[in-house]
Amino acid sequence: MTNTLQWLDELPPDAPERELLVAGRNARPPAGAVDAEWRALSVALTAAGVSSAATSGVVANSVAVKSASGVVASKATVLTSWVVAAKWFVAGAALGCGVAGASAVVQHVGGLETRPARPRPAIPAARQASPKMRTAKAAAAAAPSATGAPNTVLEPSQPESTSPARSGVRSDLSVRGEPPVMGVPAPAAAEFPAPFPPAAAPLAEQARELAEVKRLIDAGAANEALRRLAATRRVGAPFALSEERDALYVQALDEARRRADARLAAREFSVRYPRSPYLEAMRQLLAE
Amino acid sequence: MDFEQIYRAHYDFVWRTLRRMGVGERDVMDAAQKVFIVAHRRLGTFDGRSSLKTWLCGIALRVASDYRRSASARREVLVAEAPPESSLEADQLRRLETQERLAVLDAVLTALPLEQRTVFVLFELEEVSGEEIAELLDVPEGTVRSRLRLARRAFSKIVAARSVQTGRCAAGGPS
Repeated sequence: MTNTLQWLDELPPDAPERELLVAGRNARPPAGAVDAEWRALSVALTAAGVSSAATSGVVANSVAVKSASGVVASKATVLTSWVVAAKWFVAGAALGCGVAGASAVVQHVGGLETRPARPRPAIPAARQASPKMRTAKAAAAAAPSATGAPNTVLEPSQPESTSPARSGVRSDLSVRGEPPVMGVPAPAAAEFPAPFPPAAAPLAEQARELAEVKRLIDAGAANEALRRLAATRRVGAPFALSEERDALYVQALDEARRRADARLAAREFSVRYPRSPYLEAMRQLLAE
Repeated sequence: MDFEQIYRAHYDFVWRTLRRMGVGERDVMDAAQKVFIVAHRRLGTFDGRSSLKTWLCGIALRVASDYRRSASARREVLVAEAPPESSLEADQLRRLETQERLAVLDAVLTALPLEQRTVFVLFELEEVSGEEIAELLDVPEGTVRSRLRLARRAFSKIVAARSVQTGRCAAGGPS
């Protein structure tokens, strides 16, 4: 393979393949996308309790493993990282985990300004949302956003019949359900309206949800946080940030002083995510 | 090097790999996020035997594979809706040309068998070395070489066929 030259170096100058290869090599994401996506990603990672500072510890950890300094050193680094992460969280709540901040990021990421100028591709008829889905989406769009009026999802007194989205969403719950939240029986469907449509929510939306959960935990509303976490499960759509969500769930249980449940959930977490960067915190919880 | 630095240093590469491996434009941001979320979760297990770029590339290939699998029912149809030429500035025209070339490139790559496409994208577009590709795909280097040879041949054939087809359309003949 060492003798194989890049095709671009061998092709004649007027070869039609050349311009395609050059275009492919020079392709870049839309301007601003890297920053916007990083902000969204850092919200998600911060919500789960690991900051970039902590992550740098993990990176250093990787190097330590490479240089054969041993597993003991790596565990110590992770432990240190977790302490750093906990401290970072206090600042994180003010910096970026707030609902307004997360929502701004979501709006920025979701907004078309970060997308390429290319016209949006046509959606085939088969992809058009079903009437049920359209109803859910319309109702979701009509609901107050996190930046504005209070979120109706957090208000149990809201009559269910006033929200067509909820009935639409809930009717799909049994189709693609994830397993119930770790260690706790699933709450009654009527108890937890679903904040997500059944389709996989965009990552930015998931990050916003976790940031909100984290805010609730920090504000001492752990039970409310638990309800929101349970709701993300009940919708049943794939949740890319499930590891972060489950880490927050353990933390919320702990904050709610449900220590036995928290320990059980932490144990299940360690089984489900044996290589998680949040594992050390779970182990600490189990050890207490 | 903290995670943000890793992210910023490799985002373009991950984005390009995902796009050329079949992740549609509307999904590529989400897919790139997934790559980095997985990377963040697994960074502790990165042993440094391969380069960080190769390691991320492996994650990106898996994420792209997941997207292709789930995209069969929701495949994007890319329709270039060019604005009237009179309103186009030179820069816009250039961008449009590039987009058209990328659309053709994607169409040609899509026509390649997946194994050939993977090797072609990594070697020819991302300049990943043959040794690294072999390690990444867990195949001998000879296999990488032969897949690359076949991919180039097929690539040329498809491009030539498209040129002929385009010429016929332009001449008003049967397409």
